[in-house]
Amino acid sequence: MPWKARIVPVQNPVPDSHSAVTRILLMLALGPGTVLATPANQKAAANHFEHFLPATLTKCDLCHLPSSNHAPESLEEFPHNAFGRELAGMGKKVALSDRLQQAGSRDSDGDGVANLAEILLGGHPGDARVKPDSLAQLGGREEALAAFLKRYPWQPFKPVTRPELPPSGVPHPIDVFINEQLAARDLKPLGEATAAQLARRIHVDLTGLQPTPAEVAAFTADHAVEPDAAVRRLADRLLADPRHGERWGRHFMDIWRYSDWEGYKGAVRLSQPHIWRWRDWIIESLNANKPYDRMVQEMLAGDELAPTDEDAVRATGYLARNFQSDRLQWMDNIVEHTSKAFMGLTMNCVKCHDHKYDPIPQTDYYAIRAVFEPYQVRTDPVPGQMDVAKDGLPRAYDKTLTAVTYLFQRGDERFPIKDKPVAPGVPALFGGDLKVKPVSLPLVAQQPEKSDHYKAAMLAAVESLADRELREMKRRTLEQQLELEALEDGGMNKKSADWQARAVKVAELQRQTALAEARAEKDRAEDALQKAMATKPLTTAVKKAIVTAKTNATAATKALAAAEEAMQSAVKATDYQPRKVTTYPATSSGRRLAFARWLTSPQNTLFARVAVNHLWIRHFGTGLVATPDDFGANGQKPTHPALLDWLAAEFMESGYDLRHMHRLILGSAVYRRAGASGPAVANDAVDPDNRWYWRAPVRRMEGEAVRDNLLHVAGLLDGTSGGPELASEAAETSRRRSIYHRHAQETQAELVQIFDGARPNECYQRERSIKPHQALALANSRVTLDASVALEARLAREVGTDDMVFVTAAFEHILNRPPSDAERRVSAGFLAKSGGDGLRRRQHFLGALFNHNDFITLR
Amino acid sequence: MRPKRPGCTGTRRQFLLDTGMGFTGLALNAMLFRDGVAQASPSTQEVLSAWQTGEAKAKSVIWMFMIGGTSHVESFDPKPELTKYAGKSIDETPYREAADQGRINQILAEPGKEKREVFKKILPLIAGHRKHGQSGIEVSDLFPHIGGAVDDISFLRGMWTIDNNHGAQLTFHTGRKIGDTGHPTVGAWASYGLGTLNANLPEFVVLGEPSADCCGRSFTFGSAYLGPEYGGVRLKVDPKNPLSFVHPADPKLTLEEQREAFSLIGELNQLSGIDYPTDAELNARLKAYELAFQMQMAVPGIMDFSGEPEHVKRLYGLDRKECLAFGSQCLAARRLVEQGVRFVQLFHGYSGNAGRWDHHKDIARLMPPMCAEIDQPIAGLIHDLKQRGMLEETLVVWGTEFGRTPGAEFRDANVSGSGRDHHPHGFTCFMAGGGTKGGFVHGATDELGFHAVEGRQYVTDLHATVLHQLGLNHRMMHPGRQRLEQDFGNVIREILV
Repeated sequence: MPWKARIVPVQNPVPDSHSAVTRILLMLALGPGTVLATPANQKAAANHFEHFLPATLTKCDLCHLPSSNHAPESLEEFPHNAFGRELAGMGKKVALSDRLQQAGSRDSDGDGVANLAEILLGGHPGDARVKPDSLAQLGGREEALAAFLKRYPWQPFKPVTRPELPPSGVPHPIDVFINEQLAARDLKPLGEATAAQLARRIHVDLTGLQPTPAEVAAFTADHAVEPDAAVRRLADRLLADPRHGERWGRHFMDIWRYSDWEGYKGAVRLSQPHIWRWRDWIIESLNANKPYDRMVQEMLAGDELAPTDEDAVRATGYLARNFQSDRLQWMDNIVEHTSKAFMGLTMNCVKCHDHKYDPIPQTDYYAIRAVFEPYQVRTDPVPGQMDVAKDGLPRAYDKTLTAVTYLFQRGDERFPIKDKPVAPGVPALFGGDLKVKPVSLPLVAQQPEKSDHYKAAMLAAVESLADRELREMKRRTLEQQLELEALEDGGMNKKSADWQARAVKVAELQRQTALAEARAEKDRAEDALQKAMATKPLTTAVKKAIVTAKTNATAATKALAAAEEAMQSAVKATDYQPRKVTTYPATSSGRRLAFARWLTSPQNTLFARVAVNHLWIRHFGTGLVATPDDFGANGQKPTHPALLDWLAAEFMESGYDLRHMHRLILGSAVYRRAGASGPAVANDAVDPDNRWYWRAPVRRMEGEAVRDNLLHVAGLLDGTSGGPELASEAAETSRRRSIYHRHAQETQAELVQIFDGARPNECYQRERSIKPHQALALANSRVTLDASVALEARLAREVGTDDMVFVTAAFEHILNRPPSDAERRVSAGFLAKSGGDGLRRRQHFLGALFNHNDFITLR
Repeated sequence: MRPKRPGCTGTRRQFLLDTGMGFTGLALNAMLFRDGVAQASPSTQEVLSAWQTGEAKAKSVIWMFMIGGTSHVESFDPKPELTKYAGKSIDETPYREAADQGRINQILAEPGKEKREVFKKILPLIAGHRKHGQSGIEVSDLFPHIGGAVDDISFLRGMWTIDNNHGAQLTFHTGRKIGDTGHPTVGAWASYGLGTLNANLPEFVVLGEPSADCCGRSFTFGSAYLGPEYGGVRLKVDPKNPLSFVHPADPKLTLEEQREAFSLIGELNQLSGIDYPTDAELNARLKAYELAFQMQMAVPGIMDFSGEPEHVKRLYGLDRKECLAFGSQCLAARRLVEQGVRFVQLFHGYSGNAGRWDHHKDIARLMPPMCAEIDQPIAGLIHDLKQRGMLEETLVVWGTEFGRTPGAEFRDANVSGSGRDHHPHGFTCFMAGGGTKGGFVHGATDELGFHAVEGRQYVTDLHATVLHQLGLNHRMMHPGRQRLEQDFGNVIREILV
């Protein structure tokens, strides 16, 4: 196991001022526990033994001796011990875990105890001076390790195959896998949550909005008769609710890095104006239950996949959002986050060097970059609007088909290796290659201003002219011109007599239009001049205006004369002025399409695994893999690898049907467990973090859900969906859902953000912090105040203001449960306190309930 | 493996143990440990000790930023040669190679992107200058008060930066050009590395109106990938409305009503906790409400100067109309630092655009009143910190995005007075207190004030120095991110005691 001379990644140089010893100490301090120079070997050893590696054996001295040098200059000075030599002697070609297995029965240090027995008992297999006191303690450890090593193997880079269900009497496949792990640890799962808790959990999970008391009551009644069918029916109803798309749209916007644009005046620095069209596409696609693989294909290559399908092109907002004025950073981001979101790989590490943990060579980074190298962003006109500054469709297209990608030495763009351009490709570890086929684009994709809607908008603009004569003339001109243009695009030869005749006709019309316009302009300029001259008093500003008006009038007169002069000569076909139309390349490289097809194919063994893990996170608060952006060796290993693979297989076989997966998860007993941890003390001792899902996780709602539910519970929520983003500051006063407010790096809805809103640049899962500022925001926000006032009015109307009745109704509306006796007493006590009027007391009471931990928490 | 401050992801328990519950910092964590809500986390300690050197010289930083680019030759790097060669072209002086285009392009991140003419016709100094203090450091006569404080100040006359437009404001705080937008600022690093000393207050506070949309806006005090909890919290020097959500939306709500409401929240949460005795999050939430109430009390109090004696207010120039705004920021900064706030960032010169220090024209008329706005407040602050024994532990930093050209800029023929253009090639910043030398000059520009020729320091060298004085090894802080050499900067050891 060779030490590498340079241990610290290039980007993290250690200051020169430190002595060599400090330097090494610092290196050791860098990681969790102690850190070896070759992280891959260390990780492999740790992974192999996991908790079987005793704490007395640090991962270093398992294979290495301490340095004999007082001031070691490098980690080279920590030689192998006997065990390390044994392993090294087997050659690097054999995986370390296999070598560890093989070396188990040997006795490297010759102290009479086999390596494995020494390891399991903390007796240093490479050091003859240390050996276990007694082998009696070995007990069943070797067998246990053997069983552990035979567990379902986690092979994220191997294709997904559906694991067999272990035999059990449990009906739901998810529970089979969950229960297997619970049983292995002697954990007793809790029973089902109350119907009210379940209703709240399912409503918020699927729509982001909690149920009304009536909805809770209806579900409770249904659940009492047919619990499974009741959950199924509720899930079906909520999945069909358009608010489902808004809820899950926001989840995917986290992963796909949705950001509104950022810049100054015309200069865009990040993302794109009108990027909300992509946000709406996400929501609409989810509501249409578009297959997940198709969604990803459209996001990466909708313009190549279906160039005339505006819906598919809208999906490339994913690429448009990655726009950054610094192209290097732009390319870095698209490679990094496409890899994290759809492969669970930290490809960003590979920009500068081969991956330290996963079998990814540096070239892979550039192969993926090459996929994106040709693309740029443009804004196409949308129906009814010709000015793309006002509205438009930000989208991707291939601008430079010949774009070349070079590998940068050590990731430094100043040192490209120019003689070896990198071709687009896929990470080598998955095998397979890209079948890139250029895509020839239809006319409207090349020239969006030739779309029917754009032409219609041009005609509409003419129709809106006030001057009838001019309007008529312009319309005729435009119609003829567009007709000729269409004929040309249809292949009409410009040398043909037909074309010549038509061109002359259009040119004549253009000339007449120009004349009419010049006349109108002259009239206008003269009117303006007269008006300016009549203005009193004659201030400096007015004098200036007169000078300007005079200049304009003179110019208009001249222009008219020129137009009249032009009418004198015979009109020629060459006088025809074709419309100036923005033109983009006629071909797209096809790189992104090929890549998207590969990315969503089973060849990318991580596509479905990463996706189902994200779904799991949003139903259970944590992932089966706790690091959803890193499924590699440096990420966390799955708690339930077999379940993850089973879910991935199910997702693929369902045709990437997201709703199917939601239904499946909601149908499991593990999803429906009770959340209370009180009585289950024994479980708490074994698994305090609930890693094995013996109870439902307690989850704080996301900021969006907190704000949306304040409005929703009070009956204030405006259900309008889609459209341009609202100002982030408007979140305090607007009644729309939080998702529709501006979310950019420099500005987000403050109330939402304080509750750990998504960071626009990277958010693979939300944090769940607890901060005093959250308390201030929720207590003092205008939204809470408005909600309290509105709900008070509503409850007073519906149930009256009798304290007891009011308190019960308030609990049921806000917390979806009735108050306990103690809570009723405390609440009634608050309402009955003397001083202040009853109305304000009730409002304050509701405000306090909105600040209740149970309001923002899913139990 | 790179050290990452714990708390981004992980299980609930890990999260609670590691992050100090995601609060404003470690102090609260400690409080909760004390109260038995959470247990001390070895991983937190380990990670922090990786970058805390244990040799802090300063506890807090007051970072003052002048928006627009203050002329270095008319402030803290006077150049009599400009007056001597007034009206002549740089080419007619012995220093003609200063205007060499190649030399000019050398430092720029994107030379040619922002084409700027080299104004060669020399503009004389608009004010005199004189030696001050025992050190005899020369300061422009526009800053008589700061002149009086030179023996407590280290001047950095060899500063340079990479952008010749106002994106340099962002560069000044992150070390990156404006196209790179969000990178953590020096204040965010400080707050990330240290945490707060007072859980009732944010650890990183911003006073004054920050850079405008053009030039970095909230990114100039942002925390980017470090996470929002480490970004600067904008407070207004207004006891009535100092912090977002610090006041109830209902203006009629009385303190008593609010106290009752908070107490009801606490009671109800506790009752619900009976069902969930092991739910640590609930306990943390209870604590958060208590702290929120305290913060609500503490923050407006900081901004209420009624308890300050008149002579102290006068020290900051609060009795002078022109000094009132910035003097109040300086006084608030002292009060915040007194309460344990780690990093106070002050902005001066907001104009909605490039900034009021951007004296392209008529510098002789426009610059002196601006100097008067800050001169006494800054000197007063240094003096006040010193007399309270706080200067040793408080590092005061004064900076601006760049200096201004030796040459006169005539852009508009109708304007009588001329100004100076942007000048990233050499400019001046200063530091006082916090373990820096007094009466000291480090670095120099050439005779025209054109290029920094000695003690050249890039803006991140300021960051490195600040973090070093706070007891942080800034090179150890790279939470899973690639940081460039340029991002780290080098500690300016020459100015340290």
